[in-house]
Amino acid sequence: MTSRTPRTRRKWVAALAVAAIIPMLAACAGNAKADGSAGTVDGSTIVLQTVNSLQPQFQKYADAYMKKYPKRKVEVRASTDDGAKYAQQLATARISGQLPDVFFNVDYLADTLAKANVPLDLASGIKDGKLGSLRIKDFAAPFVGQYRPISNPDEVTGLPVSADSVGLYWNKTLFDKYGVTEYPKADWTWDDMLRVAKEIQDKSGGKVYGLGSPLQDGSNQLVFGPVLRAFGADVYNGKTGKSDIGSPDAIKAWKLLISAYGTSSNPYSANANDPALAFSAGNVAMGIGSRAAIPGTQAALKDEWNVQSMPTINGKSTAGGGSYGLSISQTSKQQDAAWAFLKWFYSDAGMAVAQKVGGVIPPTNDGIDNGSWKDTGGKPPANIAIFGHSARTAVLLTQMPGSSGTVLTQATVKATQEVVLQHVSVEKAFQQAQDTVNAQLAKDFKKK
Amino acid sequence: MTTSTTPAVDVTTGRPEKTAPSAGRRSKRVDAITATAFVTPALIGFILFVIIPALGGLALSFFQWDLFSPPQFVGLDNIVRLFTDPDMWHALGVTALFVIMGVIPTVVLGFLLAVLVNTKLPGISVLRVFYFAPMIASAAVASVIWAALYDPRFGLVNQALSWVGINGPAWLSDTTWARPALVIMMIWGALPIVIILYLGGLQRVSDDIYAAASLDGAGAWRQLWSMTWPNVWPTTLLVTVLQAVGFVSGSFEVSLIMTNGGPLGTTQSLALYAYKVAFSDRDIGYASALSLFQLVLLGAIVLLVRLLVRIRKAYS
Repeated sequence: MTSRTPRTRRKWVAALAVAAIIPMLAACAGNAKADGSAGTVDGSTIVLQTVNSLQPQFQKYADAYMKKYPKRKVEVRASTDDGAKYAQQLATARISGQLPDVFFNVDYLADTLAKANVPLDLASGIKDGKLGSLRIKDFAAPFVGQYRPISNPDEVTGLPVSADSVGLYWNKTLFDKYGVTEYPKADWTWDDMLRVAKEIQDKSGGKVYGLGSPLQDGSNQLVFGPVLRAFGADVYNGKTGKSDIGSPDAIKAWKLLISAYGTSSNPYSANANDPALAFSAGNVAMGIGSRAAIPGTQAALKDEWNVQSMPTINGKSTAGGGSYGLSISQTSKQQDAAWAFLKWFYSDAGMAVAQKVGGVIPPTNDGIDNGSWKDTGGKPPANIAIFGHSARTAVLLTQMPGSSGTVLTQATVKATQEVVLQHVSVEKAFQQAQDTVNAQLAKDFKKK
Repeated sequence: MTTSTTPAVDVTTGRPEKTAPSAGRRSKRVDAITATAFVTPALIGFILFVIIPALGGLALSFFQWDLFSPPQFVGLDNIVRLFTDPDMWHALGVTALFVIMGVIPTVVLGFLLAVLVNTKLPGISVLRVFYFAPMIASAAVASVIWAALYDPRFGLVNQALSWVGINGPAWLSDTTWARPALVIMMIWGALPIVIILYLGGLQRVSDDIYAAASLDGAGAWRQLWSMTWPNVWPTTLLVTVLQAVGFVSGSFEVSLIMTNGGPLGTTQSLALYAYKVAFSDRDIGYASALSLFQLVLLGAIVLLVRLLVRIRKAYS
């Protein structure tokens, strides 16, 4: 009698299911450390986790550190650039007890990761001098504020690496080629930008796009956030806990942004990362981009190009901003070594390397004003200093609780597609988007 | 016929010979050990990477979990939610359309190309190389290449259409054309395996019946539809099942890379929806329930086909 009875089989199936789930659930309990002192520094090896696109410069940071401190090792690991997937990988690493010692954090994920007890609170360690004489007040407040958890703003779960903001990239070669002599100026309004973009697009017979579509596929919060703010609306209001992306003021903003498709910019594309629509591809006369795009553009674009401050609306800046940062994981067994790396990185020596190899704008008040980042070594953009000013005035990405940020992105993409592809009215589409986001916010607040 | 079933007898003792049955048993044991040795590694892999995760998924479908906080047991809530979620029904409809639009052309085209490849026409060896080409490109690479081909301004597809005076659409951003564009790409990707399977089926068809048909005056088309097609019926059945399953699950990576389920959800299949629920909304429990539902659907398709085969056999 070798066959098993159905009852025995059921027991086996149940046992297998339990075996599969228990390790996952048990690991969720975590083994977080409250203090930031663990492990030795000399003779240590720490893991520095970043994203693929930043891997080369992170490797250079690690190399510079190891050159300075030969007894310390930094192993750089890189993974996906996709924020959602990156967060998932950190979560999986936490479950398996394999979190890196120091990891790339980013403003829009900071609260999620903090809520999940992934990063260590750095505030007390900084106060105790783990970064030497550097204190939190020395960092540009809006950028470090992005790493303060919504539910506990006294904590700081990451330190910004660069004070990034957006500017208007423009291709002088294309302007000249199509006889457009009105170059972008610091006092431009959005109407000026769209008008000149249309002129180039028309004169080129559609061969060149005047402007890379500001909304992209509808998800570009770095652009629509400040534009909504300039019209008097908020993507998310932390005080009311609501979004008013469907308000009358917001509707004016959406109408302006959507008007660019096909006239001043490329027609709507569902692919937000279409390489043919990138400014660096050389067939887009103007593009709204982050400071972080400079190294890539320098490498890819052979034309003559420059940057200008973002155009204004109603006299208000429409420069968006954000940052990525560095965090120490709560479960790191090498926390002292991790602190030592951060201490070096945020020192003058570390920031000098970061400015040289990564072109970053140091996130400290002194670094923004006096950093060597303005020296491009004769390469474009000549007007790089505009990013120092816009770092001070930028409207930063808004942190939203729970899954609301993701729902916001999905809702604005859907609303944009409804308007552009199905000719639904802007009012109806974005009112619906607002209702969706607010419903999710209510759900997320209820969970809290 | 009396001797054929008589056991061998030892002529010296009159007892039945032990050597032959014993050798047979030993041989069977060796066979069993050999088979086990070959099967075990694959079985371990299957259990580790398919069965246990599937059971884990089943268990997770009873929890609410955002990957970060501890999971909360919610009983059958996620299963009940499946049937009240309009996005799930929409994704299911999209998946069904992928299958309907994709499987029939794949089977018919695959069959016709296999017949063509199976002939001894001049230059056919070149075609044999080309039909295999889609298999060497991963779906991710193929998706990126096809996205470039579909580019409304620079893509080869619209360039070719413009030569005959057609102003091609923005394929991947158009609610009408995005789904057919993806299906065309998926058919292209599926054809090699279909052709290979049909080639195997065609080689089992005897040349004699064609010779007889020619003598009876049957032309090429008559032979194709009245003789070849019915004779490869088992292959057609296999191909149909494989492609139905392939279009349900294979649409995931293509739509993720090329359209991310858009525009307006027109290419959001059930698998992609489950993926987004899991890793964008971080609702792992409900995503597990969605995946489980897809597994049940695929099982139902296979069972349905088996049932049809039995009915056909019963009638024939």
